[in-house]
Formats: sequence, C-alpha cells, structure tokens
Amino acid sequence: MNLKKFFKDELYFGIFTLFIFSFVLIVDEPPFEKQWFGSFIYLIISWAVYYFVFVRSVKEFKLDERESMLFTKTGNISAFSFITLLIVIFYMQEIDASFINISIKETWGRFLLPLFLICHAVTGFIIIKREN
Amino acid sequence: MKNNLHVLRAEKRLSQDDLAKLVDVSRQTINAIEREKYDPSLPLALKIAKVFNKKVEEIFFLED
Repeated sequence: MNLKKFFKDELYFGIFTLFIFSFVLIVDEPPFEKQWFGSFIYLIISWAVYYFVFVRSVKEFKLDERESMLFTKTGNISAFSFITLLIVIFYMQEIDASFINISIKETWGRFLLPLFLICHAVTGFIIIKREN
Repeated sequence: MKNNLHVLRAEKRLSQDDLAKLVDVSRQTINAIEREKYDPSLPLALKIAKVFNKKVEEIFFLED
C-alpha cells in the first residue's frame, strides 16, 4: 500500500530497460537472421514487462481506494504526456544524429516501453506531490 | 465534506497508522481524509464509523 514505492520501482525499472535496450542497440545489430523475429522478441519482452509492472505488481501492492484513484489519474495524464512525447519524437526523427551513429528514425520504436514507464512514474510522482 | 476524524482519533488515542490498519487503507489515505483532501467512499466511511462506534453523519458532514 505505498504508491510512492511503486512509482520508484517503476522508474528504476524503466531506466534499467532503457539501458538494456540501448545496450542491445549499441553492441550490434540484433542477433537474428530475420527482422520480424527480432521485432517479435521485443514485443514479447515488452508484454512481459508490462504484465509484471502493471498487472502483477499492482495486485501485490494492494492499493487502497484513494491510491487506485490516483493510479488511474496517473494513467490518464501519462497517456496524454506520452502521446505528446511521441509527437515530438516523430517530428525529431529526421534530425541528424550521426555523431552517435544511430538513426532516430530506425530505432525510436524500440524505446517505447521504457519511455512509457519513465513517463508514467514521473507523472505519478508529480501527482502524489500535488495531492500531498 | 468536513469531518472530525482527527478529534475522534485523539480521543481514542489512535495513531493514523493504527486507524489505517483497522480500516485496511494506507496511512496517507487517513491523512488525506483528515486534511479534507479526499472524501472516502461509503464503505470506507462506514468502516471508520464502526471503529469509533458512531454514525457516519456524526463523523462526516457537509459544509453549510
């Protein structure tokens, strides 16, 4: 029953997945012969992360009625901020980022899940701070 | 909605944490109710009333 701890864990996990996905990207091309297989694996990982964070963890944290209300509110607001973020990224995808040897256009899709987790956690912290 | 939860809790010498455990919510929720930042649901209000052995309207009331 501690929403703050939940968002803290979510933020750490979001940053961790961001590093893992970045590491995979920097080290090499995906070690898969076919691109669809690589994408499928990413999809499975994303679903698993989503399940453990938003389905299992929420049940284990046993949020009370006020916390559930704040959690829903966080979801709604973070969806809005996430869509805004996606629009910004969409318009920035043509920017030349050759100094890091990575094309934003080809890679940003892989970071959707960690970005959402971070966005959700930060929104949660802001809402908790405002409510208190 | 106003309430006199703080007074009742002091009379019974219960901490926010004690009351939270009795009604199965977080301490922060009790704190939010006392500071009138959150209005509890009817089941939670009934649970709180039961702890203090009072009617709901004796604890929670509308501001005139």
